[in-house]
Amino acid sequence: MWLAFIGMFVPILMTLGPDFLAALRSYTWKKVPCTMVYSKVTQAPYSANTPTALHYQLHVEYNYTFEGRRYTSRRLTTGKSSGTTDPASGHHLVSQLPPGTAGTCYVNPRNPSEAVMQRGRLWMGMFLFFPFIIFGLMGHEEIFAWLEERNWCRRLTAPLPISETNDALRLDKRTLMFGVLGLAMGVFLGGFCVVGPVAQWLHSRDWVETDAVLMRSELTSRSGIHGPEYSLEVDYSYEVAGQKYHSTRRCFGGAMDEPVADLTAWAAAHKPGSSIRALVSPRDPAEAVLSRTVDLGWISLSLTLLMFCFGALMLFQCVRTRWLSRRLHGATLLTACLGTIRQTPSQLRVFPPPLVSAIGCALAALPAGAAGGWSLYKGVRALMQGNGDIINLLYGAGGCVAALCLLACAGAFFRKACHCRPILEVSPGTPSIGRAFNLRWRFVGPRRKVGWLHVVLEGFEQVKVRHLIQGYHGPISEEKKERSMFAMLPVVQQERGDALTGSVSVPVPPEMMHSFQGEKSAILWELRFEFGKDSSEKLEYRFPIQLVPAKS
Amino acid sequence: MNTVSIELDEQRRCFVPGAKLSGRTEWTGTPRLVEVRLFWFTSGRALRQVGIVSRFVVSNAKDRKLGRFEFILPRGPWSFAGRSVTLHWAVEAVLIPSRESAIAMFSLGPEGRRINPFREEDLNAESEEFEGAIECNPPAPQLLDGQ
Repeated sequence: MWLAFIGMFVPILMTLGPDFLAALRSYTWKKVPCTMVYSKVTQAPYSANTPTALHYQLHVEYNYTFEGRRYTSRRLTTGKSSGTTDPASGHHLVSQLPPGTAGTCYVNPRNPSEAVMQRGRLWMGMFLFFPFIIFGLMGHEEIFAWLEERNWCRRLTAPLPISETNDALRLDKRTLMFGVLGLAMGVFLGGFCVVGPVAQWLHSRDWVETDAVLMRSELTSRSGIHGPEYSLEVDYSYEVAGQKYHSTRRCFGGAMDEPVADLTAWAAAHKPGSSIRALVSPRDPAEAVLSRTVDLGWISLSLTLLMFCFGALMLFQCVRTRWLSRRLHGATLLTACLGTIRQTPSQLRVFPPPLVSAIGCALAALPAGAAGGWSLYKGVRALMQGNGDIINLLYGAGGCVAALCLLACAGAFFRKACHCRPILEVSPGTPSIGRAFNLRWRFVGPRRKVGWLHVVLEGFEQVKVRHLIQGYHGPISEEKKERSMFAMLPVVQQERGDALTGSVSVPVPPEMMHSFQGEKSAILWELRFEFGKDSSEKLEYRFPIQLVPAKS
Repeated sequence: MNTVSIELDEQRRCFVPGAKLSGRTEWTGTPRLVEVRLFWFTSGRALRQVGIVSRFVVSNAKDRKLGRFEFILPRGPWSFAGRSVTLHWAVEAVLIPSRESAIAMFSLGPEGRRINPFREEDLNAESEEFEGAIECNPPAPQLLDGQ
């Protein structure tokens, strides 16, 4: 693991470290006025080894005076490269600083011949932390295990009172970590893939149609973690007020699931050298698009939503634990773990009714199936054209499988909804241990024919235990519920005759344990209803029931 | 070094809900205050949960060496010993601020004894529990696959 960390950290440090230090250093430099001599944008290969990978280089020259001496500099910013893959940003700078205009530059006071127009970007230093984040994620289980072990060792050497060792209601650092990560990733994905493109689209209502010439329209591929990844490289030029501009933007956003088949069709329909209409911003002519549409894509949207919801749920869990640890004492604690005593009869219904569950599952299957089917269709089309559109194939298959599972659930719920279901009345509302309670039942819904009925009162012990499993990137732990039945008391055993309605007195033996609801452990009681019209049919419903301690 | 001890008046250590639990605590040193806590806690495979039901603060602890306490026991939860989890009741005297403590455990149940839902209880378990030290170690996570 340490070798993997060093293998990750050293190349990143060697690549980004010098640029980050230079950027940091430039924040100590003096700000002085300067005069532009010239500024222009040129297209050049990114490096000698990659002649086909082009980027835009910004060339500037400016004069400045420092401590009475006049200097000339050609450096735009700190760092090795002054290039960008986005021509709009280059054009934007050039249009702001035409020759002869007055600007400001930053001069190194120790070496006044060294100056830059823009200070380096400090946020690039964030990338230096990436190995720590990846290392932390890969080895988080070992790190948490070490922290817990240290905590226990400390507890052994300086024992705490037992009443202060409420571990079940202690903040779970794993939950906190995954909550923060999920929320950060949801915000990051949502910002870049949804909010940004939509905001740009909203601001582009007054963009003007202009003639443009397509310089490049080519489908390129590279090797990604899932296999080949494709992108459509577009470059077009246009003129505004006699000045020539370049843009590489087709539309707003750029969905990761944009079908390769569509990209291929677009490239085939738009040959380099052909005329095309572009929409140009009247405020900043460097900003242009070919189509005023927002390309969001269902995968980006779903991932954003999933990450956000997951993070929010984890953080809610942390807040809830903290709230419980402060609130649960005295009478509140007793109510939370034993429940409220209710003398009036309580009605137990199947919730949600099977028809509602069936409709819910079917409705959820619709978007999953539509999105999965669309992606799968596009992926297969690209495959037939000789391109492996792995993202659409992978997520399309996932969407289709999810839709099929949801449809299967909907079918099962619908079959249940075609039969009647029980409604129970328990009197008193919260039965006590050692006393009898009255159970009345009736069946509602279609096909009200009940030939046999079994009702069983079951008691379970439930614990939530953290298990370690071997994950792809190392061991990970997850909390699992474990249940074991400790009591099974037959209440009704009716093998024939009409059982549509009925009532029975249920004695609860005094040696039984009452319901107990702890944070990580619980004693649960359930009424299991099994019935059917004949021996070939069996339907089952479970109703949780609260059994309270008997009054002394 | 400060020391503290706790003793229940009832030697049987078996109580029914609503009963009066009383006892005495003795200490050495000059703690700022002595707190006697009535609580239940779980042990077993899941993480320990502690539920403090009531607190009794012995005032003027600096000037005294012993104090009496008295609690009315609540209706539940009853003491039980399951397969994966056990619920215990205890009173604990804690010296503040040094955090030295002494604990006395007891059973709370309908007939003054611990419930055994699975009926697998070792008859000696209850007496051992009261005499032995409380295991302070965490339940170790279980390794399922690949380890």
